[in-house]
Amino acid sequence: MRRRRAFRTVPDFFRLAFESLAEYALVTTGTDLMISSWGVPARGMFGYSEEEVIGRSIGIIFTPEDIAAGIDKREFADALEQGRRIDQRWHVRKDGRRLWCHGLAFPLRDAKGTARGFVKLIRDDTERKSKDDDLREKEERLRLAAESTGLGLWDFDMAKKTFLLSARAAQLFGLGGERTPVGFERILEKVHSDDRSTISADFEQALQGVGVGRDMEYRIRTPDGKYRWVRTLARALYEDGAKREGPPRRLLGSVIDITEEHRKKILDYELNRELERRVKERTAQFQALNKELESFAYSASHDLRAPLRKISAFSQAILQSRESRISSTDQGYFERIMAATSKMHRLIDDMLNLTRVTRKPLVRAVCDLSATARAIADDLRRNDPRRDVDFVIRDDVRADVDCDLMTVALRSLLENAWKFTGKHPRARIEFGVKPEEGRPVYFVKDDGAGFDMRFAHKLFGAFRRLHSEEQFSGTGVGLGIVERIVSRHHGRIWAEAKVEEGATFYFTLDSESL
Amino acid sequence: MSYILLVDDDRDDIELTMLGFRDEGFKCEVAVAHDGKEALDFLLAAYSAHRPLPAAVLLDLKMPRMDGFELITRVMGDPRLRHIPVAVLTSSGHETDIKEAERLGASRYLRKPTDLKDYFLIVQEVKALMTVKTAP
Repeated sequence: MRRRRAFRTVPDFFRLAFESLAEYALVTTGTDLMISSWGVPARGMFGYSEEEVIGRSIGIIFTPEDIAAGIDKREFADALEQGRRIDQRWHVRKDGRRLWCHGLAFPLRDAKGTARGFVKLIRDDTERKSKDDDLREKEERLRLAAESTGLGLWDFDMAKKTFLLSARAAQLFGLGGERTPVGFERILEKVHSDDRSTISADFEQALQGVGVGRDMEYRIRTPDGKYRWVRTLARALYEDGAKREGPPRRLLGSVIDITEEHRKKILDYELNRELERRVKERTAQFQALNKELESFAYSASHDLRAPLRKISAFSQAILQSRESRISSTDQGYFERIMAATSKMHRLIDDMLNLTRVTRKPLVRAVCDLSATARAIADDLRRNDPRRDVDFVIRDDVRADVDCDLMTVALRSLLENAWKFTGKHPRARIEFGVKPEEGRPVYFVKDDGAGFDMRFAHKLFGAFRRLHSEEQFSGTGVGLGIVERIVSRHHGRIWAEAKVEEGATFYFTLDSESL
Repeated sequence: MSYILLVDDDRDDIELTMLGFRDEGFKCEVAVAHDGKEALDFLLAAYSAHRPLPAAVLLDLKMPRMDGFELITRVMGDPRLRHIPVAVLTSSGHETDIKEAERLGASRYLRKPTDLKDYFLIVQEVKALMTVKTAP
């Protein structure tokens, strides 16, 4: 009874009920489509007051293009004919803004069934549409991106245990254009038998939420019986976005053809292996050749020695013989023969030394280079006591080297310094070490003839000379030997010099200064 | 009369050694064999015929038929000959050759001189060897 008092009429009740549904606008018209009622939600939705629209055509909320196309009239004609008409379309607000609306129109009939007008129920879906549009756009973008990169997409439903594949994914999994959900087994059938167990195990783990996101690479049999390499990548989707434990709800993933990439990788690998093999082969050939050359040089120089010894000894025998009556010219010739043979002897000796230095096995021990240098200096002084040479030898220079070879190297460098200071009345020869970039750099320095740095590159070649033999005697092998000894110790040798201002030979050794 | 046995396949070297000995006034008699085999035969024949054995053997290393190393081995391995001092006289200064000769029992390792004057040293060494008196 109380209710009856509250609502004077039944239509009042419906009207209030509809108006409380704020998102639905209820508009009624007469059969002439003139608006007869305009509720509160309609006012809010379209911006017209009741006074502004009552008695005006419903056409005011239709877009000009729809009106031009007669859509407004047709909608109600259809509603009349079919009993109801549902549609989605753009409507226009008073301020001109458009609303995407979901509408339901139906005729109002009296007790006799005669149409007395229409009801149109309108819901504003603009916001939802824009969300849907966004989503659709995103999906479209993803699809475009996936398509343009040849990326296939798949979606695995954990409950149904089936895949939904994009067209490209279906194609890559060898399933043609299949779009219906497919079981994991169907895909596994297409995987190369060698890869199946790995994929199976990985997938089982992924189902438990373990290792999801890991790349999987395997071969898929294409319909023409060939195999192509593909890479899949999966992401897990959880019921509750924050919780990332246990089995996921869905797995989303991509699949891409990497056959070319794979082929390239294999090719690169094979190419590298081939290169490595070739380098090894060539190095071995080179080493063998080098060894052969050395042994040839060794035996050749050895065999050269014997006849040379005979030439000089027999020449000497002739010169010394009391019976031989040779002219002083001939005597001079024999002397020249002997000088030449003795030069050749020195050359052969140096050649032998050079090969010996290369062939001798390296035996490392801690050597007192200062003591070695001092002993060599004493020898030099003893052999030529008239020279006024000041040796400055740094104390306690020690290194982990082959002592025999380093003695040969130091002797060669100090003899060199001794020789090239020979034309100066006084000389100073220094042996020392200085740190450079944390490593010891050893040096032998003199203030002798020096040389033009333009020819420095010729210094360490065997039998190369920077000075004529008239200026300074020697075979030109000494520095070549030093260079080999230093390089056998994985070191480096270089020189700095100026004509008539002396020369300094620097070298490093692959050892800690002790 | 003591003598030495010089074993060398190189006739020039034999000649030079003789020249060197002569120049140094070394008046010792020298028997010559041209390879190891000839030398060994010579020594065994002398022993069998009760002829005197050389006071020293001076041998080269590289020789045809039987080389110096084998000759040293044979002499040192033979009780009838092993008392004879053996010295190597060669042009090889090869470390391994020197070590091998010493290991086999050579008393001296001498290099063939380039300079005739250096035969002085060879003579000294040979003289020293010859004075080593050992029972036959």
